[in-house]
Amino acid sequence: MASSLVMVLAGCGQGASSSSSSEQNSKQGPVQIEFWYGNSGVIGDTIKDLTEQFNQSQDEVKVNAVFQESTNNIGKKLLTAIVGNAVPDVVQLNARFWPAFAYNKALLPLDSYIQNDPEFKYNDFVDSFVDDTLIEGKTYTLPFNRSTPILYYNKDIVKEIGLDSEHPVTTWDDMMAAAKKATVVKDGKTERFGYASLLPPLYYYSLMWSNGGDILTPDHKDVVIDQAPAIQGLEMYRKMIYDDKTMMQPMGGNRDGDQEMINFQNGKVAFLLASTGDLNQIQNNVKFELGVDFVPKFKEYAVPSTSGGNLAIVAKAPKEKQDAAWKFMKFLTDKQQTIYFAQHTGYMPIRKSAVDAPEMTKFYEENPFFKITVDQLPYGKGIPVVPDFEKIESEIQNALGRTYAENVPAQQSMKEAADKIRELLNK
Amino acid sequence: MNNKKSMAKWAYTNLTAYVLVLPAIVLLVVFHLYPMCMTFFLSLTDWNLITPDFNWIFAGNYIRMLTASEFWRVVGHTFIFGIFSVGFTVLLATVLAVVLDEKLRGVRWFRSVVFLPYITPMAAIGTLWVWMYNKDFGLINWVLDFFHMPAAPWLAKPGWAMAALIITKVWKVVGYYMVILLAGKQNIAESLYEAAKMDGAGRLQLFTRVTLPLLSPYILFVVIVALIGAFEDFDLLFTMTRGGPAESTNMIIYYIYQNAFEFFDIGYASAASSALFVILMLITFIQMKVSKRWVHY
Repeated sequence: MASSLVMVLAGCGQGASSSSSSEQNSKQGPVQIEFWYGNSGVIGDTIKDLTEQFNQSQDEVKVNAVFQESTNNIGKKLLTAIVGNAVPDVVQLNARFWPAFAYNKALLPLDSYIQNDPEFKYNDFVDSFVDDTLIEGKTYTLPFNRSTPILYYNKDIVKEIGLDSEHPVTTWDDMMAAAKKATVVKDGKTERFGYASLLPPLYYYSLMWSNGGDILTPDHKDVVIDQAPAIQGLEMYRKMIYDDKTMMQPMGGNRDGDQEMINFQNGKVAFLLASTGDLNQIQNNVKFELGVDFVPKFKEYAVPSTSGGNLAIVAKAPKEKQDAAWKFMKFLTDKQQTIYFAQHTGYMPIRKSAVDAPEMTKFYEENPFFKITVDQLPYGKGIPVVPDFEKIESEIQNALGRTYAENVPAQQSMKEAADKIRELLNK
Repeated sequence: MNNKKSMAKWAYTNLTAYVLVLPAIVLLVVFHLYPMCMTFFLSLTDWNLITPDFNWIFAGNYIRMLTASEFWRVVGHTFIFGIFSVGFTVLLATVLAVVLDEKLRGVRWFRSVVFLPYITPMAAIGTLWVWMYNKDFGLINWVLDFFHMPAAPWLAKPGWAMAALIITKVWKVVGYYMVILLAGKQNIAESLYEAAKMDGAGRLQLFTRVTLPLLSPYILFVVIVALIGAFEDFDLLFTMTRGGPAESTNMIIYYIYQNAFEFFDIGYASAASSALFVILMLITFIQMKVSKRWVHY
């Protein structure tokens, strides 16, 4: 009943998904569990494949994989499912949502499973994927499909402007200069932009961290986005958009990044900062020679490693199903499966043993772009896990948006956002 | 005796009536009345729907909302969008209704074309217009440039983004309101026009003295429905701007969504929902009062 209220609030008319029946099918046949995932296309097909492989591999658990439109939608649907007491057992949740559910005790802590399962080697996970995932000292999720930002570039244009086609830029200064060379203006109209970045703050964190700046202080008590190291990158972007006119203004709206990506694919942008998760799509759609490189740096390389999705078990599910769900999660995050997943999707392998495996080495020789994404991994860093991070991030997005859209100096827009975030933190 | 008979008769007719309206009542209670009461109840708590327990904070959410500068900005945007989009929609729909009532060639085809955007899903329209509005490589700026007019930063700058949303909204819904006004126009007796012509009225006078007054009840209906529609248009914001750039097109309906499903702040979102309900009630009530002066039944 209450779920209808949530739907009315949301203005959407889809009923909450039906869920695993509460009838216990103990001691007869496999335990049936429901798994929600949100990736479509090739990635979704690979997830279904892996689920099928798991079902074939043993006869204790049978997983029913349910597609939920998008990775952001799962968060909303899980909320309605919890209210309506009709929950799935395993969910794929992105970093925007799982902390909120974990803080509210809606997810099951996995620590006892992790400690009591000798086959499951938690320390084999790539460090930057499990960095900053503890909430109140407990682990609630396992990394599954993880991506980081990466720099895409048009090799034809890079050759045309006389830069090294394998490694055109290292620092942001190089990027500014390259963008100037790559921009084409005709009759006062820009025909080609040197550089574009996607709008979400995630793509900006790299510039902050690389310059020694940060979002919050290490104890999460205060915000530092208004300090010089964190501002410099945004001020550079402002100059590139308004003074040099070499950067395309990042746009929001339908499907973040669509416009930047399509303009890049059509040769109207030379360098693009986007996600590794977009690699397959970009590769399949470009009509020029594509290049991929590390995200440029100020002082040190740094990229956020928290985008993508994690797997979690729902606290409201019956114990028997939770145990079955753990078996399934263990399977999905295991070495062989993460190799299979990485090779089929372009997401990164999440276990060190998989990164170093011979079949991965061979795969990287054949697909050098994927190699770049993995080489960048040691520079990965997690976003802080605090309640209300969504609100903090939306304030940061407003600050970026004001600078991008209204030419507001970075110092001012970041200061205003920081003041609002301080109010939140001191609540 | 007589009494009993009439009682039985009363019961019979009334019960029949109640049984007949029961399905509608049940649906109304389950899908409107119950969620409305629930929303109001939630707005008095700090519950996020997930935790097992919640606290009553009574007016807390409302106080926070009324003292938040963002809330008032969002309300302001909603009113700007509502007033301008409805104003242009009503003007254009009235003109179209009058023009498309003439016996011209191809008028039926034209009516269909104007109506078409209304039945196209917003997701498709939003995606399409986002590309047409693209500041650097969009169709609209290309056309403007072709006619040597200055290009505009449609969705890239705050004021322009609002204008862009209003244009898209008007384009999308004008056909629907045109059809309503067209029906109203065709209900006006031809004899009235003939009488006016006998008295020597010109085209303009026919429109201002006959058509408009007799169309006024329909226009009132259109204004109320269109305003509610504009205040509650979530899809347009979600597909085109997500409230950006820099929150300049954020409106109540999207603000509610953000707070409920991005920040999981259900109590606060419920308070904002209640505020939206009150605002729409007030607007409708005021219009009904004011309409006595200009609507002729």
